Formats: sequence, structure tokens, C-alpha cells
Amino acid sequence: MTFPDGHQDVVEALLVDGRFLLEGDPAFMTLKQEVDFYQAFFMESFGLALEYYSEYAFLQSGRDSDPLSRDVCIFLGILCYELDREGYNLLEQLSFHTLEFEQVEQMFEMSSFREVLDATTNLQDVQARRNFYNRLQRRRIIEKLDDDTFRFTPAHKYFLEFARSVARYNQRLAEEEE
Amino acid sequence: MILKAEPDKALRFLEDNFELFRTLYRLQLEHSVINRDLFEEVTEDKADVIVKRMLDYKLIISQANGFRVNEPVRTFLAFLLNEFKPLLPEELTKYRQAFWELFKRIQAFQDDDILILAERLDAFYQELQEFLENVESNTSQLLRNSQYLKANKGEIPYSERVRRARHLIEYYIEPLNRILDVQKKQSITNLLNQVSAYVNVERFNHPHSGIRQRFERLHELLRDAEARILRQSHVVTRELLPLIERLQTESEILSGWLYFLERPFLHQVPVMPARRLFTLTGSNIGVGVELFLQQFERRPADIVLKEEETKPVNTRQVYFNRRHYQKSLQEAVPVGNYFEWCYEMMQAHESMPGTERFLKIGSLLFEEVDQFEADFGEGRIQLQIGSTVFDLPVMEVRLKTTPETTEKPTLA
Repeated sequence: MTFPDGHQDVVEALLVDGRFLLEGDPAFMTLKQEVDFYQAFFMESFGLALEYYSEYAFLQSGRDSDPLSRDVCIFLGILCYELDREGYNLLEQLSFHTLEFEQVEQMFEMSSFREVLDATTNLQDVQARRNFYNRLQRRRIIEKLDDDTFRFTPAHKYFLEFARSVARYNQRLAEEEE
Repeated sequence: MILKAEPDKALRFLEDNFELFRTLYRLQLEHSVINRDLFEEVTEDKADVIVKRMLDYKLIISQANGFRVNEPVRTFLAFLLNEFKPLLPEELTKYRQAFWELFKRIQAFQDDDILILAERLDAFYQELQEFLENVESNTSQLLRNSQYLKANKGEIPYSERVRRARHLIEYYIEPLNRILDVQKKQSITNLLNQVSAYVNVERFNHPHSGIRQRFERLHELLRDAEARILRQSHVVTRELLPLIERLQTESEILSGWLYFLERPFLHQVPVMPARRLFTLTGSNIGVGVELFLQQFERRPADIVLKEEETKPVNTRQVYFNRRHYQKSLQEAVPVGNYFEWCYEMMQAHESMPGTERFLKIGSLLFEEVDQFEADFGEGRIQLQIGSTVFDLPVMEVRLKTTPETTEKPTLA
């Protein structure tokens, strides 16, 4: 039985690092070429479901979900709210634009969701947020371009999908109540 | 006063019937009073004893046109549920009146009863706290209303949303802005600034210490108030006033986030891969094993202390007998090899000779400059003390000759 070239990179990225594999990573190419194999491989070996989308992939498990997920949702939620309030086009900003850390800090400082930020241990002050950005980078959710700027990788879309599903779910609830 | 039960029993009753109280609170929030029909409807499927207790414990009050939740309970529920009715600005302006009256009286105070001045200061403090809490809960309620419109939670057509937004802006948001805006002469913030300036001086100036303390406390609250009001004012300008423009863009994603952010710590979050370091067990295995093994731990035998003849480890004599060495030197001069002399003296006198002692003895000479004088002799001397070897010059020490004792040459 032979394994594809780059198999170790795929396993290391998805399983050990627990990060998103992105289109553009060499390992993503390996994955893309053998999607069916990897789906079976991870499920049979570890009981983990492979989530594969055209631009990103990761492993999913019902157990022991990373608490980072909540921090990301809070961070992204508030960021989206502030960007929208400033009049930017949300999807465009997140998908294509370079953002500045300083800009984000200023928005958060004055945000009406400041209370929520203060209550989130990993987001509550400048230092904590700096560590948070590093963790985001390790998981390939953002890409730091230099000390001052960053962009979101396609992986952020996973969380936007989550937001969409929340909206739809609640809308359905509202309709049912009528 | 609740006559028919202990206070904790009343509280437990509130907890046990929380859903009922939540419904009643919301009805009152909407209609200001709960009329009899509504009340009957809500309590239909509850036992009669529940209604009886509600009234007995004075949690619900019966009045002519219906029922209402007793005010302290209503405030508590508002806090727990975080649901308020936005205050009409007229309701907030009453604080301006209160502040103005109290301020006038506090300033006008002559040498009368100190007690009334203290009471007025306490009252001002109280009013200010209440005002700040009211402003904050009011702004946050307006914010939520605006977010509701923005996220279009009720699936309301755009024109209707704009109409509601206009209503909010005209009757609630703009007036709130006028109250908070420090630039406006009539604003409460402006008045508080004047009070602050006065209090700032009086907290040092006033002769009575108890009064100074109160001024100090008020001063701190006023400083805090300034920051808090500024924050609220920002929310108003940044988010509430531009509400109409913001309604123009609708976003499903943003709506989703707004729903999520209502209860960010209770809401479900998407699953994300956890980093796995090849452990095939759950994350709690370490703790589990520890707890399991604890039951097998043997208690170590109790330690018994016995008194024995033990010599203390360090019997270094801390006391350095300077006088002894000074006297010895005085008797010994002139000394041909000073450091050798120090060494010998040390060995003779000290029970634990060491480099530290040696240096102490050696430095005596340099402390007693007016008594002795020294010259370098020929060669050097090596002295070993413990594991250290000192390489020192040979030094001759003698008593200092005073200028008077030197014979002056007489003129022939």
C-alpha cells in the first residue's frame, strides 16, 4: 500500500497542528487529489471527519473542540459589526483587503461590544489580543504580512458560514412563531 | 415589608416561578400595568396558592386597574433580564433638576448644621449613581433596538424599519444626545462639570474632615461619571444617530453575528479542530489518573522530633572584637611586617579564622590613620587562609610622630 507524496505534511497539518489547510499549500494539492482516500483514512484511523471545501479543509470532531472557536467567533463578530458600522463592505474587506492591527485596536477600543471583549479572557487587552493573533496565524486563519498588517485566509469563510446559519435558524424560528 | 414569610423564602418563590415573573414583567413593560384579564390568562394554569403567595409576599401588588410588579422586584428583573424601556428624555431631565437644586443648597451652605450638608452630599452621590445607571441601561436598550432593526429580526419591510428608526431618533436618540453633549449649555454633563469644579476645590478647602471626605468621594464619582458619560455619548454619535444610513445595508452575516453576540458565552459555536499531540485519550486523563491514584497514597509516618545533643552547625562568632586588635596594635608597634602580624593575631585570637576576619583586622590600620603611619618595605609576603592565598606587600607600621614632638632646629 503506498501513500501519496506529501502524506506526512497533510497529516501533520490537519491532525497534529489542528489547523486549516489552505488552497496554495502544497499539502492541499495532495489532499485535493486524493480526497476520497483521506476522508476514509481519517475516519477509519481516528474517527475524525474531513471537512473539505474548495478553498480550505480541516478535521472535525464532536469531542474536545478547541475553545479558540468561541474566541474567533466573538472577535470576528465584533469586527464585522464595526466594519459595517464604518460603512465598509463586509465581504470585500474580509476577503480581499489588508487590515491593520492598529485599526482593529481603535475600533475595539470604542466598540459598544467592549463589555463582551472585556469578559473574554483571550481578547480582553492589547497583550492578550496580540497572542490571539499569533494563534490565529498558527491555525492559518489569518496571515500576518508584517508587524502592522494582516489579511484573512479563506478559512475565515467557515465562520461566516456559521453566522449565516445562525441568522437562517433564527429567521425560521421567527417565521414558525407567526 | 413582607410580613408573611422570611425574605429567603420569598426569593426562592421568585426563583421557582421565574418564568411566570418574566412573562408578567414583559407585560408590564409593554402596557405599564397588567390588567385583570391578562393576569388571569397568564396565571390560568397555575395553582391558586401561587397567586396567593405572590400577593402575600408583596411581589405583585393589586391595584384598581389591575396588577403590577412591585417596584424593587421590577428593577431586579430588569437587571436580570437586561430588558428596559427606553426612557423618554423628559424622564432623564428630572435628574438635572435634582442636581441643580442640591448643588445650589450645597453651595449656599453657611455655618449651620453640618449634618444637613453631609446628607445633601450623600444624596447627590446617590442621585448621580442612579443617573449613570439609568443612562447606561437606556443607551444599551436603544442600541439593542437599533440592532434589532439593523439585523431585521422581525422581517419587517424596509420602509417600516426606516419609520421606526426615525421615531427612535427623533424622540429618544437626539434628545439623549442633547442631554449628554457637554457643549450644550443645558446639558446635564455641562452642569456636572460645574459641580466638579466646585467639589474639586472644596475637598481640600472645607474645615470639617467628614465633609472633606464626602467631597472627595463625590469628586471621584464625578471623574468616573465623566468617562462613563463620554462612552455613552460616543455610542450615541457613532451608532445611534446614523441609524437610518446603516439600515440601508442589510447583511445576513451581520444578522447572524448580532444574534450570536446576544449571548456569546452561551451560544453554540462551530466545531474547530483541536491540536492533537497523538494522545488517544481524552484531555482529562491526567487529572483522572491523579485522582484515582490518590486513594492509594499512604500517609507518611508522622515525623517525631527528638531532642538530641547536636552541635549547631555554624558557631561563627559574629562579634568582632575591634578593641582587642586596636590595643594589640598599639602595644606591638613598631611592626616590621604588618600583614603577617595581622595573620598571627588572627590565628591567636579567632576561633574561626577566615578571609573575612583577616580583612577586617587588616583594614584597622587604614581606619586609624591619625594614630599610625606606614611605609612599604622590601619584598612581598604570601599568606594562605583557607583556600585563598593573599599576595601582600611587606609593610612597616609605627606610631605617627606628631609635628610638636619633632624637634625644631634652633636658630644658632
